[in-house]
Amino acid sequence: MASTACFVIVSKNDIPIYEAEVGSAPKKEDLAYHHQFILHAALDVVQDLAWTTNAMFLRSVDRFNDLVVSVYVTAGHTRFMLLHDSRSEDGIKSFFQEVHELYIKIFLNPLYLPGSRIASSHFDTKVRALARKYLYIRGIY
Amino acid sequence: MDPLRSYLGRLLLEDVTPVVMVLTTPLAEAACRKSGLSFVDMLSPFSLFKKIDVPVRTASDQPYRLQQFKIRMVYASDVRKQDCEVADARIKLVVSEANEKALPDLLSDPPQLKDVLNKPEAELCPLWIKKFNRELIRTLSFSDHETFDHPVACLLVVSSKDKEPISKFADLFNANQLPPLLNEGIMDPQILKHYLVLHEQQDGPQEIAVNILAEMRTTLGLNDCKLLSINSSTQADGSDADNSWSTYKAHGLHNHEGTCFLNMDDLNEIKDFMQDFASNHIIPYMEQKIRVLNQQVATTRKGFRNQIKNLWWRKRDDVPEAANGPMYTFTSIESQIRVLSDYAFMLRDYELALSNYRLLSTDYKLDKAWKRFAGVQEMSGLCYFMLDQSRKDAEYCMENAFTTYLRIGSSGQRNATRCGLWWAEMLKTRGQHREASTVYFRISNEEPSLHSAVLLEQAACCYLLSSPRMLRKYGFHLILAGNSYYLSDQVYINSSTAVTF
Repeated sequence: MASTACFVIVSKNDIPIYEAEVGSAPKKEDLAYHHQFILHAALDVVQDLAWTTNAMFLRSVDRFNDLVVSVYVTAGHTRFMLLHDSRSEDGIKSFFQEVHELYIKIFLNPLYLPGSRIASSHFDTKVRALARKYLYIRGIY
Repeated sequence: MDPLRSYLGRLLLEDVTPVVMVLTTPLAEAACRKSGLSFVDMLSPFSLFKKIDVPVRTASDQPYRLQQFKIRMVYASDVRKQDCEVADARIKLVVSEANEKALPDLLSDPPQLKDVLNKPEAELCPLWIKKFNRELIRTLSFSDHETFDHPVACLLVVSSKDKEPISKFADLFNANQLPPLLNEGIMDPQILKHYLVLHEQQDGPQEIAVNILAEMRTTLGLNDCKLLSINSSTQADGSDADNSWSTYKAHGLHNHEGTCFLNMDDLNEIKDFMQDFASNHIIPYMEQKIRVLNQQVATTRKGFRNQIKNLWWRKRDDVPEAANGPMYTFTSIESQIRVLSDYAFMLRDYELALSNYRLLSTDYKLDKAWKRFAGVQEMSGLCYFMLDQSRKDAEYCMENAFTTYLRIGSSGQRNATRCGLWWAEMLKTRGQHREASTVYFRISNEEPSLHSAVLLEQAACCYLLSSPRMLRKYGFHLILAGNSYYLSDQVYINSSTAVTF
């Protein structure tokens, strides 16, 4: 079952520090940067929404055609953004929470400079495994 | 903000106005062409009245005074649906003209973001985009499910040089030349008729014309016949009319060849004629029709008993089924109520219009005539807007109309676009720019690439104008628009300010 999903972590300075295409649908040529554009545009909405509530999980904040953007904001104003076609909310919430834990572990590393790109391949593997588990995506990873 | 002074209000006051169908003999037309204008062009600048000051009494007993009024003069041959290709070509022309004008600006450096942000609202949405919107809306003129484009009156024009002018009038009004709206029974062929004799001063003294006029008055009615003299000037360059000529030129009275025989007296005569035509003929006729139809509606529909009768025993016999839903001729009560509401709308009695539109929407819903239902919902939304009441109802109506038009498939697509454009303007007037952008975005999905590109650009502007400013959305939509422009082969490098975030 092909599905689209794109996961991005944006730091508080609005710089993406991690991105992963976790969907199993093949990437179309003419829409090469479509996902990044959509997520970037959604930041406008998140900017205002984040201060109206003290929950971390902001559910779906924006739509584009049939794609939905769901966002999770951490205490340090780092945003986890997921672009996906409509899916169950609980799975996404658990996904975000687990990725948050992995993210904290990265931060605990004294050699990691906060705000820089997360280059750890271990982190990458784990995130993709979580995506497979919580977002019910069948992929070939 | 007073709806009448908002952009949408003014647009409606100019576009949703009574249509006068014009039928001219070839000689009359030739006389006008000597001054480089067609008959319609000659009269059009005088068709907008800023201070007509006519008392109007519709269904209620309270008269109110109408100040601003406009009538649209259209040749009978133009009173039909435009071909798709012709319409699209016209729209494309608007865009390419704007293209050429903008080219020198675009070849210089792209503007900085802060300059764009500081521009006033009017500049952000350039004039050509507004023109584009109007052209897009105009492609839908003269449809059969809406009556505000159906001619209210017919102006028949002969020249004093025509032999046997009375029979010419009969010839002009014969079935072959009349638009399909009248022939196919969609519109009541009994419309107000007004007869005009054009006399050129250069041809000789006025006695011939006056005689013709007297003859007309005896056969056709004392009040319905008029004489108009044109081409009185002996000089070919219009220098007799110099002073006022420039103001009339501003209204669009421009002659192409450069020779013009009209002088000040002529222009004043034309002005007086139009004033008289509108205030003493068209408006009273519309008032009368409203009163008559209102009476009919009150007896057949209003009142508890009638409503129950309508709900339970809705006769299907006089509504023949056609391929795309029930066909309504002008004799059916629904079409008459629609005429009543549209006339009331054009005479600015929005409450009467609204109550009748609501009556119609339940009828059409029961009959499952979706296109007409959507049309009526659209108009109700506009009425709520003009009355400045109940924003939620207005939006609900427009949303309803929009989704219904989309649901009926390809025939409703352009209608959906028009509905969306009006809806977006409504939202912009109320400061809800963010919602307006989503509407523009929804319509852009329905139209081919060039149109969708312009609509996306408008969506982008709205994001910029929304508070809080949404710069990223603005940039994103500009890029989508640019992509669409590229796909439609228009070399229009919309100013994608390299947004530095």
